[in-house]
Amino acid sequence: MILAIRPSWLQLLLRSVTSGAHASRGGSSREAPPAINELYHVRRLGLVRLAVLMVDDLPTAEDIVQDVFAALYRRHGADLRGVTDPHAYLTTAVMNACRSALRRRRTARAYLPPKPLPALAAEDEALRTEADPEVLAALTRLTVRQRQVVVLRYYAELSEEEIADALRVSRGTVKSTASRALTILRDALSEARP
Amino acid sequence: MTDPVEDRVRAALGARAAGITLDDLRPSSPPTLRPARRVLTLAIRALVIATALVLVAIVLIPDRDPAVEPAGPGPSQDCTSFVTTGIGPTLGMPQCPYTEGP
Repeated sequence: MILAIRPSWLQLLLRSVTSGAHASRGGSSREAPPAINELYHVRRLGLVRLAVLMVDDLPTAEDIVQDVFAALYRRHGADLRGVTDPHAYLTTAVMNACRSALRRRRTARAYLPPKPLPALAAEDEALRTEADPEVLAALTRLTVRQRQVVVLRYYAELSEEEIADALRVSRGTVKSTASRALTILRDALSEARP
Repeated sequence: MTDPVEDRVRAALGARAAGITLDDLRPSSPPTLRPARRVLTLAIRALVIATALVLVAIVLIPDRDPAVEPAGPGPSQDCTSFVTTGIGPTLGMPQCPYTEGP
């Protein structure tokens, strides 16, 4: 009842508050959403999946992706002017953020007494089982850089050159890192199933 | 010829990633909406605090008893006798406020 008789000025105020910075720049609400929001809706799930494969933890992966988009917006604005390849930019940014998160986690583990890992939810456990737990366990033996290369090569299906661009390393480094990672994985999997 | 380990890694990563769907994610919060939501949150908090303060004031401040007359102004001295000289205020003597009117 109260909502039905809500004055129009209040609706206008609420709309102006919830429409964000874009609307306040003079655009009407019928305009297309800003480029960064479209990119967010298109790429969010894929980037979260990519981050999960790196950090192995959904809440952290979501935080990473959200922070990456916030940083992109702060730096380049809503229309992403000045970003030549937003998709490559996002992949690189997510990979860098994952690397930082893993380093922080490893540093914390080095200073804290080891705690038992929390029990996985039943659904998560089921997903891991479908996803070959031996392989996932073997991935934890890799260094952060090796894991990045493996994820970008076998999940994102990037070429060596694209991986080199994303990680800002040489193509030779990608090749040698991938080779070393595969050797470690092969050893780990052969240990698991003698 | 593909390496079975590579195939296995590819399949495991794909399965792990496919296990995460949009339903598993938090509600979406596009970057341009974040400051606006913060403003809205602050406004709602301010409104809640203001309402709480008003309620506390209503509960704690006692009602005035209508039966008791408010105390009037204290006894004042009649100052008319002091201005009979027409010279002006004298030290130690009370001054009357200037009032317009009849």
